Amino acid sequence: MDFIAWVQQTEVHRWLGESPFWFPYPFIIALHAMGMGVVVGTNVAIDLRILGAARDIPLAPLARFFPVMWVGLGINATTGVGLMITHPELLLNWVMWIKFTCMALALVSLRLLRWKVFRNANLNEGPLPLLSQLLAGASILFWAGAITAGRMTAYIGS
Amino acid sequence: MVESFVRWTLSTGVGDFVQSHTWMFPMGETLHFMGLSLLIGTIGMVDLRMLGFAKRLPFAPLHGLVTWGIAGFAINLLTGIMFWFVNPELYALEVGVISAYKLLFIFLAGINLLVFRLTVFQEVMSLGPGDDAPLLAKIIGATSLFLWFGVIWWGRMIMFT
Repeated sequence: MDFIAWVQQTEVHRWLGESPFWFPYPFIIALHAMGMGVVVGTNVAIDLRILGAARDIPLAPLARFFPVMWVGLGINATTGVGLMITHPELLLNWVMWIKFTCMALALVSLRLLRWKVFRNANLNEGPLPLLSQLLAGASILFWAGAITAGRMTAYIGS
Repeated sequence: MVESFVRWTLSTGVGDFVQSHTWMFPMGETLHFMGLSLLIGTIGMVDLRMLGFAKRLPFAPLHGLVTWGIAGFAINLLTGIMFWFVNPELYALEVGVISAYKLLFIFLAGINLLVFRLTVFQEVMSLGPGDDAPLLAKIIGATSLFLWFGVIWWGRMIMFT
């Protein structure tokens, strides 16, 4: 509670809240949507490949897209902090914490995919083990959960 | 003309139907974000490959992901039409210019896709691991990225300016 009150009296909070035009708040929220598209979209595309979609795509070179996801993630971590400074009261919203949890689980899945699937020397030979497919399926569900919870913060929980 | 279209939209009662089910509009927004991600993720990967990124990927198999991008676009077209029926005055009148920019960018992305299909498509589809795409393909890929991120930009500006 005190923390939220403290954020609300900072200069940054005031600056972010008083957007006369497209900057800074709309700009930050637009970047957040773009970063989401990059991280979630790229990750889900890789998940779909692991699950058997577009199965002619060789998996090993897909690892090249991990840095792209890190860039998107960096944009969204930064803009996410900006959005939390603008609306610190969201920290009291339980739906927000569902979003944080889903994101954390999605990112753990992503790390596990990097380690378990993409570090495999025999990557492009034969079908993927069931565990990899379960991980890819879980990843899609976690991102879907994060997006759903993120949108729902505007409607419920506060 | 825009006003009469808005009046027609309201007269259909579709918006009232959506609003009488409180979960429908928020769920549409959620699906719109999922569709956006599917579109920008898959199309973005294909665009990046044309620009020379992740060159070890043969192009044609990667292009198989486009089906999912089209699915994302279809989801967003449907949910987008739903938004229109709920708030026609907002989109057509209050932020009409921004909506027009968003539709223009989507239209231009379609033209860009058409140009791709009619020019370098066959050549690009035969690119194997390590092959470089022709300059026109790179221009088309960069244009596609610019336009689709632009669509997201205008979409967000509709709600936040």
